[in-house]
Amino acid sequence: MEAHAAHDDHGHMPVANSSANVNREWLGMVLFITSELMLFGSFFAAYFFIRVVQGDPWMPEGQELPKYVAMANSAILFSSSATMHWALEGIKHNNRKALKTGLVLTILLGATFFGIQVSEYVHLGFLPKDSAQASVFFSLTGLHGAHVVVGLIILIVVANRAFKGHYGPEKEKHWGVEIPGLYWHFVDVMWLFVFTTLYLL
Amino acid sequence: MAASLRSPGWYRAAFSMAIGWVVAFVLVTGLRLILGWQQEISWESITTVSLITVPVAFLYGIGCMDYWLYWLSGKPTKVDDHADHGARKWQDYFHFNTDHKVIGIQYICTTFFFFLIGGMLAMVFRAELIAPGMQFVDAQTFNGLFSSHAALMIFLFMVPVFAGIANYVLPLMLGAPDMAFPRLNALSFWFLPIAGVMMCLSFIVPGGAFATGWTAYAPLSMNAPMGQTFFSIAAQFAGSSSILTAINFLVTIITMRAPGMTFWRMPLLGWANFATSLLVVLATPFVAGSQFMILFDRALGMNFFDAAQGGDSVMYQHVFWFYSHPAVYIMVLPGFGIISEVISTHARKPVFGYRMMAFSLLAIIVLGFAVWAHHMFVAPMQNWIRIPMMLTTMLIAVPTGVKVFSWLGTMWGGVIHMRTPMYWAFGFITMFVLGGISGVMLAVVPFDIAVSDTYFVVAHFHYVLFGGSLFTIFAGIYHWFPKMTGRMYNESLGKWHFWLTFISFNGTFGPQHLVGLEGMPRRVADYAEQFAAWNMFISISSFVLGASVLIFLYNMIYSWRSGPIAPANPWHAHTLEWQVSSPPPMFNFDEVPTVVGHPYEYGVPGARHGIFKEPEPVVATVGAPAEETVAEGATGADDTSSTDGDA
Amino acid sequence: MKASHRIVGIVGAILATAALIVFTIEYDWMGTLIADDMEPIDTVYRALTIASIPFFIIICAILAFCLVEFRAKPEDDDEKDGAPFHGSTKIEIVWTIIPTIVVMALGLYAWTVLDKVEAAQPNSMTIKVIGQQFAWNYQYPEQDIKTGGDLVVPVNRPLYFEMTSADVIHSFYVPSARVKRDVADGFTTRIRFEPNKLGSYPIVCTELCGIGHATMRSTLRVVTPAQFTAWVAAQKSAKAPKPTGANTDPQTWPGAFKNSESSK
Ligand code: HEM
Ligand SMILES: [Cu+2]
Ligand SMILES: [Cu+2]
Repeated sequence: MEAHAAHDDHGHMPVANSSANVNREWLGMVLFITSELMLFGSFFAAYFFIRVVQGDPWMPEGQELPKYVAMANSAILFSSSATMHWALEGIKHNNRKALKTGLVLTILLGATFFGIQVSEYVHLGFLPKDSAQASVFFSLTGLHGAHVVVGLIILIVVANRAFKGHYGPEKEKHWGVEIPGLYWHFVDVMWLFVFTTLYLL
Repeated sequence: MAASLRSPGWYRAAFSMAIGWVVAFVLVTGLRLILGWQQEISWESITTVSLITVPVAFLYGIGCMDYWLYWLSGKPTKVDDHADHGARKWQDYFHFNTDHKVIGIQYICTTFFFFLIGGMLAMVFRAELIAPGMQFVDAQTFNGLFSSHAALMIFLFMVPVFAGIANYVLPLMLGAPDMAFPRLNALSFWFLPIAGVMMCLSFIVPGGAFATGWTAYAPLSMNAPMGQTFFSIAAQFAGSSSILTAINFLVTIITMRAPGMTFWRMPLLGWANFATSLLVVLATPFVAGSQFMILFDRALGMNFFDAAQGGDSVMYQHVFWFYSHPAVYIMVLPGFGIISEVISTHARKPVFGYRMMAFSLLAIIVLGFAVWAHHMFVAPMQNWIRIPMMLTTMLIAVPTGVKVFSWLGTMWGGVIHMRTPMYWAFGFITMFVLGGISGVMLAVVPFDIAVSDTYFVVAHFHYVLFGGSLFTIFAGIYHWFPKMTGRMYNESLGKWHFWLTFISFNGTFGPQHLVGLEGMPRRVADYAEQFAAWNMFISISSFVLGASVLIFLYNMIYSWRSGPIAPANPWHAHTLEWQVSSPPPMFNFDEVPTVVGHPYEYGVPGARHGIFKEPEPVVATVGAPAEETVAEGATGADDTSSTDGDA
Repeated sequence: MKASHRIVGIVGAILATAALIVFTIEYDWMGTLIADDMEPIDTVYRALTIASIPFFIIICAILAFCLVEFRAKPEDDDEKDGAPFHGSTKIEIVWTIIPTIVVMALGLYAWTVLDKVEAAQPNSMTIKVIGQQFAWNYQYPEQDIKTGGDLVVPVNRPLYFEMTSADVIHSFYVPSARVKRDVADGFTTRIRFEPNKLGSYPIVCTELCGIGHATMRSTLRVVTPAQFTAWVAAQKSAKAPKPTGANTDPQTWPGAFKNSESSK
């Protein structure tokens, strides 16, 4: 919060006391991710009831999922987590080039993942309305896809700022990379669960 | 005009909403043209999409996104931009504002507005129920009336009004200049009018208002008319609002407490909101999920709930109640906090068993996640689930009971000032205990099988929600009215309001236990002759109950405009919000106070809660709740320039 | 407070408790009960109420006492404080443990009652119930009858209901037998009871099912075995009245019983 104090030339608002040793934005993001987890959880509950409690086959006859395409696609998404981490490590060591390259690579990988996912939808040969299982499949992957898109938008903004020379190695100057990065890692980890439950199990 | 279209406000909002609607139209119609569908223009799909685009456009127009758009463009951040802070004239309350005190008032007024609408809907259907047979409305309208009554009361009143009170009071209590994320705070507020207006608008769409209850059970809601979509999307806005506010509260409580205010020195309202916000963050996404599924089924033809396609309609109930049981605690835990403040202040006694009060809140939220299926004892659910759910549900009465007994312990030996907030606190304890008792009865499976979905349940939840939560809200509003408005309310009107409400409340909801036990189903427009006498009595009491709200309104409006000027600390309370002027200065504290002791040390000689001076070395040892340190810090602080505002 | 006032208060509280308990036992809360084997449910209700009365009275009594004894006197200074008393671990343990024991005991008792009222009975007659917007339909597999009219059953014979829905969720509720269970498409739910009293009793739907929910009622007619046989014969004869209400032939409904294996 020192950064805030330095900018405080209006002089009105007293600086809030910092009663816990965490960054507010970071904590906010962690809580937001928690609620996102629960949102995914509600759809996993639907999956659980339809597949396990009700015991319906997964997936129904004639609605097979392309396991291997998804596997390759997962690899792409997971590697974007690595590039994101690299970007963050870069700025922590004041390596702006690593920051920029890392961000651009992450965006490209994420966009590729999303593109492949969309094309998978098109080539699946069945529609969300064709069965309860299909509804669960499309909404879980769709929900995840929506998170990818939001993540990409945030990362594009971050990249834009990185190219404009924002961010620095000091702790309070790279929260702007770290927090979007946290979100991106969440999107990736979430995919691990979505992928495992829908495609593998 | 052009200028007012560029700056945030209602003109820009109206204009961008029009654009939002056009966007929905173009999107839907364009997509249908591209896909080559038979009928290019589908008003139903356009309306569905516009229920998302128009509100987003409104949020932009009113100014919720200006700063974020500025940030998105890559410009440097302006951390200390307070341009949107504070209200100078009453019109400011109708604009985007980032001051938690303004937002708090905005919340309270908006939620009470929807409370009045919800109440009037209830008056209409109580009139319909005054006698068997149909009198004033048809069955479909009737179903719409009680559904929107419940939805407005729950999503637009009970849940957000507590967020409003806490918004105003909590940062002050914690010694913080504002909430952690003021802009997010404003955004969460502006979600509310959107949700409320959307629910109300469903009355004018073809097919009428949503008529499937606030629970919107599938498959009934899948094929219901258009109004159902309004409910589902409105619930999303209301839900997002609570989640974002809860995150804001949590971050504020965790990171922005005044120096020296450890968790164990935090006022119980802070604890209550901490627990509630945890519940909201963890549970509310499930109601979002359930309404997403309904929306997907309705708009995209998905089949989550259609048995013929392998769907499972009982799954909806599980997902829904996994939120909605915690939701009932979301609607009462903040009230527990308010009651602790009110009783301790007006009985001038330390809260009895402060730590147990906090622990029982945590016990309630943990147990609260393990009881949801008690709403499904008669649903086609596996029979064995009923037993564990019965036992956990009955157990939840224990921490609830601990709180009740501790309130009694707090009063015991106090100096009780029977001011209006205290009347409501007494009313709350008695009525809430009755509601808790009927709750435990309903938890008992064999009995619940007999009375589930009858008026007995209606009586139960009105005792806990009206006699419980709403009474705490009234207590809180009266208690903090001087702080919020700088004026005193009228005591005798407050007491009239209490007595009229208390009596007619019992007249309205007490007999519902009886008709419920005799087997009168809930949610019916018409009923058997045998229930006629009681229903007549209930309806008449309910009109008196409705009228009692008018006293409250008159008291609030009249006192706000011309009540006597309130001193800074009319109740001689210890918590921080009373140590600043009424209403507080723009940034709450000219200097952040230092907390040197517990918030409720009434009767402890020389004890202080907060002092207004730079932290001294002696308070460096805070963090350890050692009583001695506190006392020393307190006595040492007597000669400092304290702004303790006793007038 | 004067000692005599205290005594009056305590005696009053005890009398109120006793009066409420007597009233609870004597009052006919839930109306006629036609199934003797459901009697324990009424007993559970009374037990719960009786267990709650002392709690409620004690709380009210303490509140009343505080109000009289600890109320600020007009001459009191506004800042006069109460005793600086922060709590007592001992009493907190007491008021945690006692309610825990009480509710757990009640819970276990309720569990045994549940098992008793749901226990399968020998020689029961199976009736299939199909809810439909907005009527109840019954099938008697044993007698090979379908009807949308009254639910006619012989007295003193255990009944076993297998229920489902043709459309949305409904709830089959017989207030006089204290039984209720939702019916839903894709599920078969089961209830049982044995009617022991002749007469006609209401059946109502208690799950909101749409515009006609309030009037989705039917009648349970408990008749003698002889009357029942006669009724069955009448139903089977060609001249039997067609089902009343909005019913069509249950067999033609898409949802009915097609998925009964998924029930639990
Ligand atoms: C001692 C604590 C409580 C217990 C044991 C309890 C138990 C129950 C049970 C078993 C039901 C389901 C009845 C049925 O549908 O057959 C129920 C319904 C309900 N309870 Fe509670 N309850 C408690 C406290 C509360 C509180 C504090 C609130 C809200 C402030 C609340 C609000 C509701 C509502 C709104 C419903 C009806 C929901 C609906 O079907 O629309 N309850 N309660
Ligand atoms: Cu519940
Ligand atoms: Cu119904």
